[in-house]
Amino acid sequence: MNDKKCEQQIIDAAKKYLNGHPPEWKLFKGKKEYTADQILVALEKDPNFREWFVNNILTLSTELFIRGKK
Amino acid sequence: MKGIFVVPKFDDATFYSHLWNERMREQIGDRMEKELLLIEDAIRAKDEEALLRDPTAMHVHYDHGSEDAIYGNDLVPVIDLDNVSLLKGRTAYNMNCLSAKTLGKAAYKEGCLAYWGSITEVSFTSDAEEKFGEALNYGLLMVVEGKTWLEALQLARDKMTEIVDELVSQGNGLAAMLLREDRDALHCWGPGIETPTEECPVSRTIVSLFGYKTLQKLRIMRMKVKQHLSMS
Repeated sequence: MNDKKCEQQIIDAAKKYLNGHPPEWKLFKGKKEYTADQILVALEKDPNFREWFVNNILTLSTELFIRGKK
Repeated sequence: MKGIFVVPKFDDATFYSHLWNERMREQIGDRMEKELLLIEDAIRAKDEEALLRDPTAMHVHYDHGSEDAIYGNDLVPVIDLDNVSLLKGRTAYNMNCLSAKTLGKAAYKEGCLAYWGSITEVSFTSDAEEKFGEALNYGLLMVVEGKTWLEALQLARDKMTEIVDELVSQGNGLAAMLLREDRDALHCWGPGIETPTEECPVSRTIVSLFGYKTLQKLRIMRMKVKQHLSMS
């Protein structure tokens, strides 16, 4: 699987995951804050946010894999 | 042990940092004497006054930060590279973004005994705020219990790993992802922890000839020139 396809799979999974989060739910990142809908927009339109998000999911997945967690 | 607690509250993020600090103070109880600079009292003039009055008290800051400053309730830095020497001879616990990167390094070079903080932006989600608060408070609680700063750093990282696993098992992968990043961004400049050295030979020369503050000012100037060029 190439990088682009992998990235798209992660974004699609994130969209499913975020679907149904209540409007009052927020993610805080430094001085910025995002509702679930704003994260979906940022994943589509902000390459820096997308890169940060995808890298973070991959890093956590790798760590859990190494530590033998599901 | 005494601490000067600088804790603004003026937006949604600081609503949570203020809440976490409040919980921590409750947990610490009378094991630490506390001077409180909360909300409108959390400003530079009052912080400087408190620091000058008590030259050994720990400085505790919960709010927004940047690479070279930590902020007060009026968004003006309470500590930056111009008054960082006020941290000399004391320890500093920071629950703010980025300040361990440049300000922490400068503080340590100026004689701060231990500077705890993050080298990236701190991230969290509102649904798991209690867990993030627990994780980000843990280091100070360990210090109050008598651990060294180096021990507290390792224990805090272990605690955060435990909470990451808990969040994963609860199906909150997004919060787990952010807490993993917060954990890896924790840093403490202090005894037993490698003394910082500049990798770049030019930076090393500037530091040895003119001091660390000059290097930071040159870096800020370079950043402003780059920003100006990218806008024009």
